[in-house]
Amino acid sequence: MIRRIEQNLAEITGFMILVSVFYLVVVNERWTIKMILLPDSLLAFNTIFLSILIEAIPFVLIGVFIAGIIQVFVTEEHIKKLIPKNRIMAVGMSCMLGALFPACECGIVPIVRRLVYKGVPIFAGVGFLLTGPLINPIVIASTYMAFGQDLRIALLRMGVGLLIALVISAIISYLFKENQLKKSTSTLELDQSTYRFPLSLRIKAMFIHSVDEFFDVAKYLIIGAMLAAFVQTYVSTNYLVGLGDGIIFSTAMMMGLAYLLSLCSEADAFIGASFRHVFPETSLLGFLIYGPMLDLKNTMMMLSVFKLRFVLVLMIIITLSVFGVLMFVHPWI
Amino acid sequence: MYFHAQEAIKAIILLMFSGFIFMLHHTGEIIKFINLEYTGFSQVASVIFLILFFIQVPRIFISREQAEDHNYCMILGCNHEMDKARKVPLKSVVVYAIIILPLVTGMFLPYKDLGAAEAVKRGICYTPNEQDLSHSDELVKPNKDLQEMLESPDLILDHVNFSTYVSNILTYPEFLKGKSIELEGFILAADSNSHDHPILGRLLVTHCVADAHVIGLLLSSDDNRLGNVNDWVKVNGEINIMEDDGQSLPVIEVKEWKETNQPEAPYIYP
Repeated sequence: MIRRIEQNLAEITGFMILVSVFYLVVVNERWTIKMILLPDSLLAFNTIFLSILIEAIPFVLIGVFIAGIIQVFVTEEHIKKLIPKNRIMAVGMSCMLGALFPACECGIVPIVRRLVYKGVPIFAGVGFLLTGPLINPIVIASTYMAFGQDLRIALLRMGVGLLIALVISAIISYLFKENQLKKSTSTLELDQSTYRFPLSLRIKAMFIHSVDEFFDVAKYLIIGAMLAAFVQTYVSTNYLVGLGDGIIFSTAMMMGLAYLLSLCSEADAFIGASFRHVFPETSLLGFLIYGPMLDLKNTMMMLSVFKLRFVLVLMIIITLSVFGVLMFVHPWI
Repeated sequence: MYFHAQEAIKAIILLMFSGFIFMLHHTGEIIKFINLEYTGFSQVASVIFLILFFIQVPRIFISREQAEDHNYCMILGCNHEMDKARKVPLKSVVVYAIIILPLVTGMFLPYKDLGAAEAVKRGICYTPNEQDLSHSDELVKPNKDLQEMLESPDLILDHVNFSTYVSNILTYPEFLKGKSIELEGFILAADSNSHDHPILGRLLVTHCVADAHVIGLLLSSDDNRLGNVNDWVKVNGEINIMEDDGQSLPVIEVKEWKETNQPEAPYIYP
């Protein structure tokens, strides 16, 4: 029986595709479970969960493709040539590169993984990881719009964010020397140059790596989206906000909120702006800077790539640096 | 010819993602999830999934020669040994179950439009912000929408102009005081804010509904029933100003109101 199925698998697959295409074109109505009465909040949870995924997936796919390209077309020699020998220069360069590179916080994780795998030092990878989603034209434009066309917050977000990213990657460069990647169980251990293969094969390999990378990352993205949707559905932000009073408390609160909500950095400014009448600007900056660097969704994704210990240390360093720098600059804001 | 079960599962998942996103666009239900301006991205994603599916399919079937040939492992990766092909280890089963989960809930559960119940758990924006107040003493910057609002006798808010009109009313209440206004939205009960008035609001979706938050105006009415409505209402009234801690807040004196059905497009976009 199984043998028969295996022999005819191509035909069966083709038939299934045909049926599903037919279904999509002819049947416009979805078949949904209406018999079982599900609580409204669960349906709202599901809607938010799916919307986070649908929003994130295009950007993750872009990230996965870039990772595939890096995997196949960029060699370790390229990286060695590009990254400055001097550590301070390397930190500065990676943060600047991240600032020029438009990415969101979930799309950038697979890219950084590939870069580090190809020999980019871990602290430079972290610099890139932090500034990529935080500083880019789209984020600046949306922050500018959200805060009533006021350039001040947008500039502060960029400037203070860049400063914090530099601090964090400098600290990382002293703490960690090795690449901190998880031992990969999948297929992606290639060390030698792929240049002896023809271009067509290399393009094929790029796509295949993209597929594998997608499956590597997707499970963590989905778990992260689920947790974030859960928080959004069942935890009232007003309740969280009510906990905080005073600059220290309110900044910590807004940072916690940014972590839990896991909003895309292109959209979080609008949520941040809705707290304007409650909190001082420093706390809002905490929300705007901490969120793109670290949130529930991207913690899960980093766990898929880096060693547990490294992720924990990185989370602590990011949290302390963002909080510390904000408290330090608060008198001038 | 060998059959590689894991690769087959991956191929089917890729196809299902492509089909699922395609279906959302085809039926128009995508507007329940993301801002229409961004639908292009997910359409592209759907096509990319389809391409990935076609790339994945040849990996399902491996000939005996391919299975034993390690020449290309350097570039394609090496996971084609036959002892691996048949079994799907438990760990992978869990992984695929997680990845299939959104497809299952997405295909079989009804979608819900977010409304008042979800809105109270989110940020609510019904007051002007301090920075804007500070320069409202200066002459109003030439603002096309405000000009248009000042010139029209009645303000009628629909889902296109809702967010610009409301934010102008919040920012420049003095200029618009006394104007009659008609708008539609859901009611947030009085205890959702510190001013003890019900709010009429709509959800503003920037990117996807996960970042939706309420934008709305305070209502003032003698009719107590208005504060307890769970459904959508249409309100006719006049813009007035309420003083609170030296801050002037716009408030709508309700003249008449009626319950309506939720519109086709419940969200508004910036």
